[in-house]
Amino acid sequence: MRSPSKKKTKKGFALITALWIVVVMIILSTALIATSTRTLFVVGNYKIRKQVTALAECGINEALAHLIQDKTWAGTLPDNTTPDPLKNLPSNMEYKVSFDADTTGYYSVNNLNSSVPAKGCKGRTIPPYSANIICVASVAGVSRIVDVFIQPASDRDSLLLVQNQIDIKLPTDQGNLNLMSENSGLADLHSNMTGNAINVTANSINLKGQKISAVGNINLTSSNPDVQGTIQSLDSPITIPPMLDPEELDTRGNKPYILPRGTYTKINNTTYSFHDDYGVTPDRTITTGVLPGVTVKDGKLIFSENQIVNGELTINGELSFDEGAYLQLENDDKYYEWGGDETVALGSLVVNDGRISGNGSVVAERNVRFDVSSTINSADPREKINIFAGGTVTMVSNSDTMATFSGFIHAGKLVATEIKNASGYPKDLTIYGGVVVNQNTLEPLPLPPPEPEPVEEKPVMKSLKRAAVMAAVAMAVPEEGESEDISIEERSAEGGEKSAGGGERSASPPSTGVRSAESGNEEDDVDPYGRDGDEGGQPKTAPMPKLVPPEPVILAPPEPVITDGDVVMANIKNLTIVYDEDYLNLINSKQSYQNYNISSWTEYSK
Amino acid sequence: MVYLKKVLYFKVYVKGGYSLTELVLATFLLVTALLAIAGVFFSGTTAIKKGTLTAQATDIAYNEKVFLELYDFNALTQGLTPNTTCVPGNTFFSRYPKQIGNYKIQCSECFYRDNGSLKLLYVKLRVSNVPEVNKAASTGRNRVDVSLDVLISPNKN
Repeated sequence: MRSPSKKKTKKGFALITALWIVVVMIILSTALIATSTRTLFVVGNYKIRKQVTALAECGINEALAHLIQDKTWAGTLPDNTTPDPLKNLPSNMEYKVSFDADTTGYYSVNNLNSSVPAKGCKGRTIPPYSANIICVASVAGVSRIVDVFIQPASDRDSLLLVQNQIDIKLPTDQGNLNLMSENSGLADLHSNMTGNAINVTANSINLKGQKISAVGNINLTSSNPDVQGTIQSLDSPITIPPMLDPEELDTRGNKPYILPRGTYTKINNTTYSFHDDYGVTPDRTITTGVLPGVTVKDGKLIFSENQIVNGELTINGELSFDEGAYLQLENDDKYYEWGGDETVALGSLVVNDGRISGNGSVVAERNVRFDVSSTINSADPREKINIFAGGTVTMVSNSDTMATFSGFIHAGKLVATEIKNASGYPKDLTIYGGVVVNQNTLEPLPLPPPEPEPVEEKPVMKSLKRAAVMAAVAMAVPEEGESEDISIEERSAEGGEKSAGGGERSASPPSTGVRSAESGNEEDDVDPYGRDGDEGGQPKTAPMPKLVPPEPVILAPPEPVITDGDVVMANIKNLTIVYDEDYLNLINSKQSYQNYNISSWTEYSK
Repeated sequence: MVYLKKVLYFKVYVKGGYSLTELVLATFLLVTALLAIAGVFFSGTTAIKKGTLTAQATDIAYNEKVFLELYDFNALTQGLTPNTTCVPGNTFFSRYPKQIGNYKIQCSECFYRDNGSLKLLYVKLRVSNVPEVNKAASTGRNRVDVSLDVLISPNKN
C-alpha cells in the first residue's frame, strides 16, 4: 500500500537562499577582517621591530668599540662614553649591555683572555678566547635581544712573519724546505720588505698547499720547482703585532723573584753550580729550594715561579719552565757599580748544552741564544715556549739528536746557521708554532754618571771668583790718601758669612753674589790682590784673568741599536716549519685587536 | 473601509508576501552596512598603504644603516667635530640627503665620540617619502617618516 505523496512547493526557497548568502558573506567578512587585522598588526610592528633591532645593534657595536680599546672590558652600557643622543633617548626607548650576572637576566661574558671555557647566560658555554655580547633593547614596549659571539680577527695567518729579509740557504743537493699547517690556518711565510724580500735556495721547496708571500720580490732557487703552493710577490704588508710585556704573560699574578746574574752549570741531575765572574753574588751550589721558585730535577734548572734577572744569564744545561712561569731579562743599567760592561750587563740569555723546555716564556731585553737539540718529540703539546727578545734569537745545535723548537718566537732577528750534528754536518731543523721578526729599536746601556767633583776648586771657578771680588773691591777703593775701612780679611770673613746665608747674597753687588755662594769660605784662601800678608795699603796691580771657560766635555749619548728584522737560516739539511695556531692562542689572546669576527648572530624576543 | 484599515496598520502586502516595512528596514540596514563596509575598506586600505610605505622606508633606512656600517670608519669620521652633537658635514655626508626611488634619506644628526682609542660614530637616519605631484594627496595619509639610530664602531667584520 502506497502512502499518499506530499505536495511539492517552492515556498521559502528565496529565504533560504538569502540566508546562505548572508552566512557566506559573514564568513568572508570575518576572514577579511581577520586577515586585515593581522596584516595591519604585522605592518604596524615592522617599523618598531626594525628600530628596536637597530637600537640593540647600537649596543653591540658600542661594546665592540670598547673591546677594541680594551680586550678585557666588561662594563655596562650605556655609560659615560656613550654618544649623547643615545644617552638621552626618549623614555620609551632603552638598551642595555651588562656583564654583571647578578643583576640582569641577560648578561654578557668576556672570555677573550681565557684559555678555558666559561659559563655564560642561560647556562651556555663560552669558548676560550671569545666573548658573548648580549644587548637587550626596547622601543615602545617592544623588546628585542641581539646575542652575538665574537672572536678576535686576524688579517691572515702567518707562520713566519718578517719585517725585512728572509734568507734561507739549504744544501742544493739534499736540503728541503717544507711548510706545513697543523690545523685550518694557512701557513704563510711572509716578508714586508720591498726589493729582494725572500731568498730561498734549496733542493726542493714543498709548500704543500701553503704560501710564500712578500711585499717585494721572491727568489726561489730549487732543483725541484714543483712547490705545490702559492707564491705571491708584491703582496700587501701585514701588520706586525707588538711585543708583549711580561706582565701580560703572567698567569699567576705573582711578582717575579730576582735571580742572580751569572752562570749556572749543571753538575748532576739534582745540582747546578752558580758562578759570577764579577763576584757580585758569591759562588754557590744550586739545588731545589736554594733559590726561591727554582728547582733542580732530572738535570733541568726548572723555574716554577716568575724570575727576573738584571744582566746576562748563562745556563750550561737545560732550562725548563713549570706551568706558564716566565723569565725576564733586563739590562742592568747600573753595571758600572760592579765593573761590568755590555757583555754581561745586557738582558740576554744563553743556554748551552741543553734546551728550553716546559711551558713558559722568556722575555729578554736583548738576545737569546739557545740549544735546540732534543731527545723528545717537541711536537708534544705540553711543550710551549714563548721567546720574546728585543735583539737576536739564535738557535744552535751540535749533537746527533733532533733539532726542534715548539712554541712562538718574537724577535728583532732570527738566526739559525749552526744546526749541526756531532760531526759538524748540517742536520734537520723543525719549528712548530710561529715566528714574528720585527725591526726593533733597542735602548742602549746608559753612560756611567760623571765622577764626583774634587774638593779642590776648579780653575775656572777660581778665576770667576777672583774677578768678581776684584770688581767689588775696585768699586770700594778709597780715594788716594784715605784709608780702607774694611780690610781684605774682613771682607773675606764677611763674604764667608754671607755665603753661609745662602740666598741673602742678593744684597751684595751682583758680580759678587753669583758664584761665591757655591764656594762659601773658600774665598779666604784667595788673595785677589796677589799681595803678601803683611803688605797693607795699596794693592798690587794684578792682571785681570780672562773669563773664558774651558770647552765643556760632552759625552755623546749612546745610540740606540736597531735590529735587522731579518731571518737568516743556513747550513740546515731539511728545514721544516709547521704552523700551529694552538701555539699562538696565548699571543693572540694578549694582543689588542683591531677587529673582531662575529661568529654567531641571533635575534630574539624575551 | 477594510483597505484604509489596512493602510492605517501599515500593512501593505506585496506579491510574494513581504511587507513594505520589512523592505524599507532591510534597505536601510543594507545601505548602512554598505557604508560601514566602505568606511572600513577605506580605512583599511589607507592603513595598509601607509604601512607599506612605512615598511619600505624602514627597509631603506635599515639598508642605509648597513651601508654606513660597512663603509670605512675613517672616511665617515674625517673632519667631524668630535664629542659634540652636530649635523654631519664632511665629504662623506655631503651626499645626503640622497634619494632612493620615492624616498629621501637624511642624516639629521651625528655624534662622533673620539675618546683616545675609543671611537664611535652615532648617526640619526631619517627616511621619508618624497611628496608627489599632487601635494594634497601626499600629505596626511600618504606621508611616512622613519628614523633609525645607528651607532658605528671601527670594527670591520
